[in-house]
Amino acid sequence: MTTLYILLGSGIAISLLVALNVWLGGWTPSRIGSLEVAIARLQDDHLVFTPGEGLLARDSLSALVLDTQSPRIGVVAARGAGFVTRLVPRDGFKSVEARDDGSLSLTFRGDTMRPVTVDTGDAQTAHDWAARIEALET
Amino acid sequence: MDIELVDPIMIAIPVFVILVIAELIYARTTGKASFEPKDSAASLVMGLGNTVSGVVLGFIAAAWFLLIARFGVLNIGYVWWAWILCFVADDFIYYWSHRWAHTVRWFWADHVVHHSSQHYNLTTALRQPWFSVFTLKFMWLGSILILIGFPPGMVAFVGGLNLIYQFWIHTEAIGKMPRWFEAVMNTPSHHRVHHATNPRYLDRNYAGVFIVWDKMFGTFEEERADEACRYGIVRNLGTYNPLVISLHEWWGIAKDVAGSKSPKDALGYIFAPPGWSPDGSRLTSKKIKALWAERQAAGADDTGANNAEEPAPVPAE
Repeated sequence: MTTLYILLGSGIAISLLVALNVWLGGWTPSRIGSLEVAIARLQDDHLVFTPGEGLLARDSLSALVLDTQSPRIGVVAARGAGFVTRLVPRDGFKSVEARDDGSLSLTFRGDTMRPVTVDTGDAQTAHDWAARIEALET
Repeated sequence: MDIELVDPIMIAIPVFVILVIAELIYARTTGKASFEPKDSAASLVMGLGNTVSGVVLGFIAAAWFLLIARFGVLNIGYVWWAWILCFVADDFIYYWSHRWAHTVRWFWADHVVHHSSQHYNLTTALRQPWFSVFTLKFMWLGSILILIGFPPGMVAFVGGLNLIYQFWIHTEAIGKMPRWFEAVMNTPSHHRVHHATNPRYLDRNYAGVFIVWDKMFGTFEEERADEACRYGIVRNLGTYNPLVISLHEWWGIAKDVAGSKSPKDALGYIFAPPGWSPDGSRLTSKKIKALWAERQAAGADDTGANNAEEPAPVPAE
């Protein structure tokens, strides 16, 4: 019973600390300021990355950049106050779906990366990038 | 004869909570530290889970330590100098244990949890694994001091003190400590380097309490004013799910072993450094550092200067 009380108390203490964090703030949700920022981030995280053509989402929450040295696409996603990047080959994408509202939905295979929705701005761009991903050599 | 000792970590927990609140307020008022609610929640839940699993592991460890205590070479009692010696020796063992936690994937699968936050604040100190029992590290590392002859209670107590010391160094709120302190002790500055993924900083500063071990064994790196630390892991998770945080690397090992073409490859996936692969297509820390150094050298050749070798340390406070 004592253990249960300790666990309950710990759970309440954690909730209060997180609530305090929410109330105080002290962090800024990340946004990708420009395509150059996305490229810099990819180059920092993946030394073997050579940037080609890229796309910055309209909401600045994600970006896609082609790697000119290998059949992979650099994906940058804003997550909380930071960024998560991946260099993804064709078989690293579990699904690629271009929608008519201009969004491009990406899910990843065998990875801790959560799904990314890229707001490309128009249906044609979304379909073009989906085709690029589908066309990556395996 | 053994004596009853309290668990210092249990006593320290209220102090940890007060310091986290103080750092939260400091972050809000100065902007010199950052907290993100989801990240903080994940770290704190990981810390709670670690404490729970520690209770289970504690029983196994205690039973093991008591079993091997009878084989101690010496019979060192609770004399004053033994405490000091035990604390220093424990920190020396911690250094090597920590170094292997970064260079052997089996141990990294456990320790990666602690490095998985992209933030660096006091809650990060509490982000600890749930499944340390898989590594059985305590069975052989914790045993060394007991086999020498230190009392098991003393070994457990100084181990707790070591972990308590490491709590306060997980912060961006403190720049540099006085020069003499930075020279001998592990500090927030030294440990920021340890948590950074910049190639220059990767796999450096393994110390627990005394930074001298890193200086002795060639793994020390100074924090530089011209290169801010990027925290996290080489392949950041992008999730706050505690179960994924806990298990992702174990799952990665399982998948790699299942897909390996030979027993040798399978063993490599388990015991070689993180990032190892039979065909060399993945990058280990060593490879990342070598690649980066190559580029730095090429860049230096282009500009006629080699900034990589000229440290610009953060000024002491």
